[in-house]
Amino acid sequence: MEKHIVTNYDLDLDQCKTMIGEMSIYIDKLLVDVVGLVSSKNTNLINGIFRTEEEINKLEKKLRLFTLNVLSKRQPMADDLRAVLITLKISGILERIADHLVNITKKIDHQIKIPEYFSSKMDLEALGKLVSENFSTVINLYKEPSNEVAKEVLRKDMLCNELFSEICKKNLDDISKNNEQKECKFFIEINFIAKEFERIGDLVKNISKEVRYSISGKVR
Amino acid sequence: MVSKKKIKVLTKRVSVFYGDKQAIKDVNLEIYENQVTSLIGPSGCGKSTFLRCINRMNDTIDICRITGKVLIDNDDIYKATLDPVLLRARVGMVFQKPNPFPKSIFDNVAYGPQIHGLTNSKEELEDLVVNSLQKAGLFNEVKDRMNESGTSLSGGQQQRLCIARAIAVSPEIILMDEPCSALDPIATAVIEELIDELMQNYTIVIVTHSMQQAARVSQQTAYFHMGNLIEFGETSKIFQNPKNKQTQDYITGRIG
Amino acid sequence: MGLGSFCVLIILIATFITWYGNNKALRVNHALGKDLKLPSLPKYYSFYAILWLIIPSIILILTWYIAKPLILDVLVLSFISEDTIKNFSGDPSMLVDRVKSINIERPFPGTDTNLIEAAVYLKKTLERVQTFTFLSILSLGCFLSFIAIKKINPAFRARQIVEKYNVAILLVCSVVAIVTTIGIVFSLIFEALRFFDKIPLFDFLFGLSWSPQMAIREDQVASQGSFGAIPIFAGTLLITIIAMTVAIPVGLTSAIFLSQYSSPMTRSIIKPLLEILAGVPTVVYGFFAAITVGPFLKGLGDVFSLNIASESALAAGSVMGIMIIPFISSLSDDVISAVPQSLKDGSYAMGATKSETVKKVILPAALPGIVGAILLAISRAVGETMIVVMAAGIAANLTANPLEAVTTVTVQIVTLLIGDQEFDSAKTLAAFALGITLFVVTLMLNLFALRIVHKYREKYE
Ligand SMILES: Nc1ncnc2c1ncn2[C@@H]1O[C@H](COP(=O)(O)OP(=O)(O)OP(=O)(O)O)[C@@H](O)[C@H]1O
Ligand SMILES: [Mg+2]
Repeated sequence: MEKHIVTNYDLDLDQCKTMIGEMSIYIDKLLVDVVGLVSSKNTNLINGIFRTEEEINKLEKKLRLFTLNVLSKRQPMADDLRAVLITLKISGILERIADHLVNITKKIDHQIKIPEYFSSKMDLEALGKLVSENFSTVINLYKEPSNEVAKEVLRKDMLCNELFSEICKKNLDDISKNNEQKECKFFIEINFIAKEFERIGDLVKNISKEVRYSISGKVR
Repeated sequence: MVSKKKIKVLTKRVSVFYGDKQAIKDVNLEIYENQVTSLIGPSGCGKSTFLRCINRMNDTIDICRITGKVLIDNDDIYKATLDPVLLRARVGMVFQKPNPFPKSIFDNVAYGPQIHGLTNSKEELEDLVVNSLQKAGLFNEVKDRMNESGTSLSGGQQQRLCIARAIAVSPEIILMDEPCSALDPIATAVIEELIDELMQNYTIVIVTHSMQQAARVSQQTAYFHMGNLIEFGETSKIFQNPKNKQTQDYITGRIG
Repeated sequence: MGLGSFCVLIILIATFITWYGNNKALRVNHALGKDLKLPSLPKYYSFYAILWLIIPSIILILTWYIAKPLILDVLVLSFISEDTIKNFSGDPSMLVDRVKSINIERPFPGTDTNLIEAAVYLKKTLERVQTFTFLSILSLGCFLSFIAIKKINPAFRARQIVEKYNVAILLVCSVVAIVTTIGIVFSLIFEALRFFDKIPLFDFLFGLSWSPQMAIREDQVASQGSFGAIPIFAGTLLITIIAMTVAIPVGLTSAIFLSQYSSPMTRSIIKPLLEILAGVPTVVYGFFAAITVGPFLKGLGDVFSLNIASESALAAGSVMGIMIIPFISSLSDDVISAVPQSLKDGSYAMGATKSETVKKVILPAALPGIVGAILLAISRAVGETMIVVMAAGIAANLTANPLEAVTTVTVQIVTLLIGDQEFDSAKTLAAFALGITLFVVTLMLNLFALRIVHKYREKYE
């Protein structure tokens, strides 16, 4: 892309990207931590997660102010306008992802005890890892848009969805096998956690949609 | 949707020459009735020249020559039998710099109706003047000073006076050449509001250097570059997602 | 040494000082190194030095020329022997004058030898003294300017001082112009006051009869003469009006044609022709009026059995009108061309034709300027003399009939002052009274015209 006549304009647009990159690093960390939490509960990790989430919120606010400033200062047009617009939207999505991750953390935190083994455990961990992986992919897509990467994101998202229905099925089996009330509740919780991961997967897909919009200018 | 819009002005392969220099090159453009069409482009690309083709103001420049066809309501305005004087009554024009005549406010607006003999009595003329001033949103500000000189008004008021003057002869089309370039944001906003209202009854073509203004007031936008029409289309499309790279580079402020 | 060689010398010296001062300043700059520099450019320093050369020289030279006669008197008197002075019947100063007027080479035969010797002595000493004075003035000037050059150092700001002197010089020059004007006005006023001692102001301003014949012998009739200025001002007015009726329509229309309708080609031919018209001397217009137009009008009148005097206001006025045409047309051409294109475009865009645009937009916009031009033209017409002298006669008729002979103020002034006159008779002094009245009238017209032109000038922007 050619440079703008006003050099600072380019710097501003770059800064938008940098800030999204910064946020995504935090989210990456959160994802890894939360997936770790799923495999084994760890109080230290939990506190760390809450702190990181706060950081993300702060960053989101900063980014919002910055884009607002860019909008009013530069009054961008066409692709620039879209670039700034998706920065704003993606930062919102990132913040939502962080919220979902915190929700998962809270659910695990409230669970007094997690059984050593339940039938969907491997799948749940796999789902978390997949989502985490897809997130990295989509951030790469944001940094350097390409068709292959976009397709990759979609493919991984399909996998996520499949995994999620797998987990649901397994949980349902577990519940029907178990009559004890306490256990039932636990499986439902697991279901919710899986659901949160699935939501995060959707949000990741949304990011790729935003990127696609910014490139093509077409709303689908 | 597109098929419903009626074409008011149609140019077919219009080229304009100043002496040997070609200022407009084979431009085909449709201007739709009761819509605002904005012409944008870098300085010297021929926007004003093109605009002036539509009311044959280029005739007043000796060295200027035009080829191709300009049709208004499917009627060639450059045909020999057409009187440019009558044409200009149908196609009004507002200039970049407010240029009220050094006459009273009333006389400024009454100028057109008088030279075209549009009114039969003094009362009728007065009604017409008041009406035009009202349409231009200026009446309340000047109703007590109709006899003061038009040049004593502020820049924004002067520009609205010029608009009132133009609409006093009830043209079908109003051409505006950078009407807000000398005005502050408030006066600009007033004029933009006015354009929105005038759109109901007139077809408006506006040249502007402000991308934001073009985006705000117009439905169609044409981008000119070095005398060529580069891109023409719905304003929202042009400004959010232009097809042509040159257009994109221009509206985003890149070196193009 | 005369004043001429003095001037040549001083110019040579000034050139040298400029060069030297410049060099010196450059050298100082060089010596100061890179970081530091003289606060003013070198040329200011040399200019400053030249000021020190020239200003004292001028002042001293002027003093010398004022003092010279006094010194001469003393010298001559001291040379002439006591006896000659005693024998001389008149005042000693007259003796001095006589000495000065003696031609040394070919003295008038019979002149006192003592006086001739005095004259020779006077010439020699005068030359010597003058040369000495000039040389000392020059050396003083050189000395002062060399001190000025010596003073060149970074603490000394020559530019500011030179600028101040510049302003002072400009001021002196403009004061000279103003003082001259004031002097003219005052000389007029004093003479006019003397006139009004003899003839009451009221009679002059409102009297209906003008016949300034003063008696040469006591017993002649009309010994007093009458000095009512109304007829001649009326005559002036009449001729001016006729001139304007010719000049305004023709001048204006030609201006409109030139600025709006003509092709550049036509314009480039007609404009110079009009300017030639402006260059014709008024005397030529005068005999054109007297010899061609006057008789022609008379002949024309005879055809219609009208009695037209061969010297008529009409002949003079119409020729004067022709003379003023280029004046009006070129001034109006300027103001009409100054009407901005945007106004014209505005009018054309409304669907106005060219003539409508000219009539309704261009002329009203240019009107103030045109009025100004006309007023200036009027004051020109009022001051015009030659044509009237030759074509309208000098008879001070009080009439509104353009076919009769009338006279104007300037013509009367001329006739009053022609010929041998005593300078204290009412007849001569009347010229000054007329002059000051005319002056006041044209001044008012000019002021009025300038005010109008100025007031509306900004309106174009
Ligand atoms: N009267 C004229 N005589 C000769 N050339 C002209 C004349 N008017 C315009 N041109 C040339 O035609 C070209 C287009 O001029 P035009 O005034 O239409 O540009 P524009 O797009 O309106 O520019 P701007 O945005 O600065 O008003 C320019 O290159 C200009 O030099
Ligand atoms: Mg223009």
